[in-house]
Amino acid sequence: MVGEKTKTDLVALFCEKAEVVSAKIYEADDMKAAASYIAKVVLEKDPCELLAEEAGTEKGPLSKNGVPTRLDRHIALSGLPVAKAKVIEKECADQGIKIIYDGVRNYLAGFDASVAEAQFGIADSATCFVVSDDENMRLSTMMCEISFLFLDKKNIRKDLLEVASDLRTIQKKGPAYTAFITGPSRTADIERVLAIGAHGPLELHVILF
Amino acid sequence: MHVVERKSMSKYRKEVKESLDDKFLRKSLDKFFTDYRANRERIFTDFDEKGVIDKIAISKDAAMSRLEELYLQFKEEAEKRGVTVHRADTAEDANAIVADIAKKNNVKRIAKSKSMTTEETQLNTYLIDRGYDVIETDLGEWIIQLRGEGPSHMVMPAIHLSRDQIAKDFTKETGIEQDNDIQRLVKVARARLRKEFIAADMGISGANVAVAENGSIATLTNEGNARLVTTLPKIHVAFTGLDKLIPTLEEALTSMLILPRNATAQLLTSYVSWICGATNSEITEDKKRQVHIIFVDNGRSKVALDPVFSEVMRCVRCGACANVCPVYRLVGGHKMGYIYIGAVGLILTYLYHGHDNAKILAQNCINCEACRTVCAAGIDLPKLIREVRLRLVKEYGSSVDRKLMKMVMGDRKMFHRLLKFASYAQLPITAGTKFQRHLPLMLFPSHNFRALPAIASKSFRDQWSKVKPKVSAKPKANIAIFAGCAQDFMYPEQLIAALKIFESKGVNVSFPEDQGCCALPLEMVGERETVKSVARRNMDSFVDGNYDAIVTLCASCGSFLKNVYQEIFHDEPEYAEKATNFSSKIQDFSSFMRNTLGITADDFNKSDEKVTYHAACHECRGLEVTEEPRELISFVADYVPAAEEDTCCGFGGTYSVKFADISGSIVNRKLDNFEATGATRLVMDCPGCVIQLKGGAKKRKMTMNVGHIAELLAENMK
Ligand code: SF4
Ligand code: SF4
Repeated sequence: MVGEKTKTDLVALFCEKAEVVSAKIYEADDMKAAASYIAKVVLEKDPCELLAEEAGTEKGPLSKNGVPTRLDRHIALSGLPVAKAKVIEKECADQGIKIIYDGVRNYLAGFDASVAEAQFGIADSATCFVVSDDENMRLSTMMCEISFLFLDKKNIRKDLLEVASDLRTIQKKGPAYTAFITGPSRTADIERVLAIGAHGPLELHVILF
Repeated sequence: MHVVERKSMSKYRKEVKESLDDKFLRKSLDKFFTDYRANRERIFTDFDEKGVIDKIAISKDAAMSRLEELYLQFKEEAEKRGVTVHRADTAEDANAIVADIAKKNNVKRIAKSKSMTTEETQLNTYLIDRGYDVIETDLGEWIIQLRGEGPSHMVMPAIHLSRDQIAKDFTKETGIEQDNDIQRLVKVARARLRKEFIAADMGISGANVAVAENGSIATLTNEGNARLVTTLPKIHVAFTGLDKLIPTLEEALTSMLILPRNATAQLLTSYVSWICGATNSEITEDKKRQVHIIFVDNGRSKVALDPVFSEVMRCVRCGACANVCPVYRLVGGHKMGYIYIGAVGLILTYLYHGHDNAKILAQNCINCEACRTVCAAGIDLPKLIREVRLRLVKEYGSSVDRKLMKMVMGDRKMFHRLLKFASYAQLPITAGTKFQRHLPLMLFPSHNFRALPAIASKSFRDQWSKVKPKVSAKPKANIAIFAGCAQDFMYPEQLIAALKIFESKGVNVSFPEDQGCCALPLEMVGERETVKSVARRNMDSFVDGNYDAIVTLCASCGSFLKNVYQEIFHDEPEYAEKATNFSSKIQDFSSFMRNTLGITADDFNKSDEKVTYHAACHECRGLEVTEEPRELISFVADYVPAAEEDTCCGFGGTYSVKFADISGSIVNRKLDNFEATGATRLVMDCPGCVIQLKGGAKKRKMTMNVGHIAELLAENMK
């Protein structure tokens, strides 16, 4: 089937371009696999740096950058559909990882990870189209050190122009904040040398279903 | 922020000299220049660059022609969605609106993401003067803010600084000794600025597009700081120019196909944040975020209606016109712009920051056309820079040297008499060599990075009756020669070499003697009326001959005759038609040889001489001829390509005298590249470049033979 083939091509293209923008790809068989991948990555990462004072938060040992760290591991699931969040929550509970749903403003010094959904993918640039109307969700995807985005392979489009009408429909529904996210936060402002993790996440993992 | 006013040429030259002596700047911009070109080529492979750029140009032009309508539509749509839309006539008004919002909401700390428009209006200074804490959160912007400087590039504001300088600034700011490891420095900023995001009670962003159909705006960033300043504080103010208005989402998305590619050779920036209406907020009383969008006019609505300048409103601020500019490469953004930088900076300074500040800056362009060929919006930047000069002349009158130039060059007979006189007068000075000090036009002060050619003892026009090729009964083509001043009076031998080839190929050649200077030098100093009278006479002198082609060996004349004559007579019906005819016949030597005469390798003896090539700006970009000359060289010799063959040689006629330091640095780098090829000969399609490169080589005592491609070919004819 031509349609099927084009779809596979788009997924392949998305994965190829993801590498260019330093985004990691994980193809998950189901939600359970995704949850254990997320938990594993979070457990293996360095403890999260506390970039600001946070009332009542105990400071852990200094990071390699000389910044105090957070003692417990946290994943924010703001805005994630409940069914999916529950699977992750269960996996995390077993591993001792804490979950943040709301009140992300209480964790602005930073936490380990966030999980959110992308509505569409854009293969040409490995871009995730992410509805970000909710303030907590917007904050959780920025204040985390690792951002996980779920993306359904069926929703991968070829290029920017192919999401124009989707964007229009979403913006029609009422006040809308929509983001195209392509790889982790980065800068090349010092001597044009690339540095990943400017203000936002240090890593972006796109989990394909 | 400290902005340098530019009102005196001698001061400006001094500033330029400082940049030329800044070793770090030179090294970093050199590397940037070459990296950028390679990266740009890579990112545009398999992409319909021209098609998309044309699309953007068309849609932006259409948008600007109904700016008011789009503004009203945007306002209505955005306000329906809970956003307050403001319009400010002047920079001062725009700043005052922000201060007013801040005051009403008891704001103390403001976090900003990048916005060139706020640089334009000097918003930070305005707010800081009124007691607000304002912090830039884009890393580059923050670095220059710490230093009290303005951006030196529109996309990479701190490109002029080294990691050592930045480490020192960060040490001072944090009170902790910082080493110069870039990854570490970024983390220092990450930690330091996180606190600022949290503390801010107002966020200011720019907007790359403002979409009228639904009142949405989008910002592109790599760091994600725009996503933060539009989310963390309870108030968001977007500050942007009216020129960012565009009718539809499709058009906005199309511009995003080009902007990141052209700016930083990225497919897309890490974050594109679309804001359509006021979304929720946990920290406001009514649970709604307060969103304001301020459209700055500051002259834009007038520019949008200007028949020539309206094109500049297409600009998407990608910075590419600086990235490829040979002048920017040498002097950097602080010296090639006021606030806006690079080619577009020269124009926008004139339009937004006062004619006084543009007077000197606008002179600092060689007219190499490199910017035009990479502009994300297809803006003819060199044309607009010429227009700035023209209007400055209208406003301020001609300078003394220009008046002399205008008087002399506007009168062909007087000009030619003067040149003849000069050819006698210089005898004692040149002492029989081909080089002397005070040419080409004797009207400018001396400089010493190159030796200058003497005026030929006998001009081409004086030799014409003798060197005129035999008339062929069955000519392959009937052509006329357009000689141009440089070959007519300095290098007649280049034309004579061509005649030798033409004769052997059975080409009938005429030389209408009433022709004179092509008028490019006059255009470059803004003397449009004299340009027109010179141009009319030139066209009239060719009008009677029924030539198949008018061939010139000077790429600069060729490109000017072909591209600009039509442009300047568009509103003079009689000459508009003449110009169209005339321009359609203009052909440069190399393409005439290859495409009209069908010259092939069989016409020559091939030697093993190593020959390298300089692609003159007006040959490869002005006339878009790139293959033919290289093919011709490889027919007769061993062609060895040089690095950056198509980078400008720094001549630009009077530019090389006005900015001798810059011109000299450029030619020396070019010569380094040619020397590195090991070639013994260097050829090109333009006598202006010969003046520059031959003179530079002579000054450096290089043994390389520098000349016109016609000479090389004539020597190797079968
Ligand atoms: S024409 Fe050349 S010198 Fe002038 S601004 Fe453009 S790139 Fe720079
Ligand atoms: S003028 Fe063109 S190249 Fe220069 S910044 Fe604007 S869009 Fe980019």
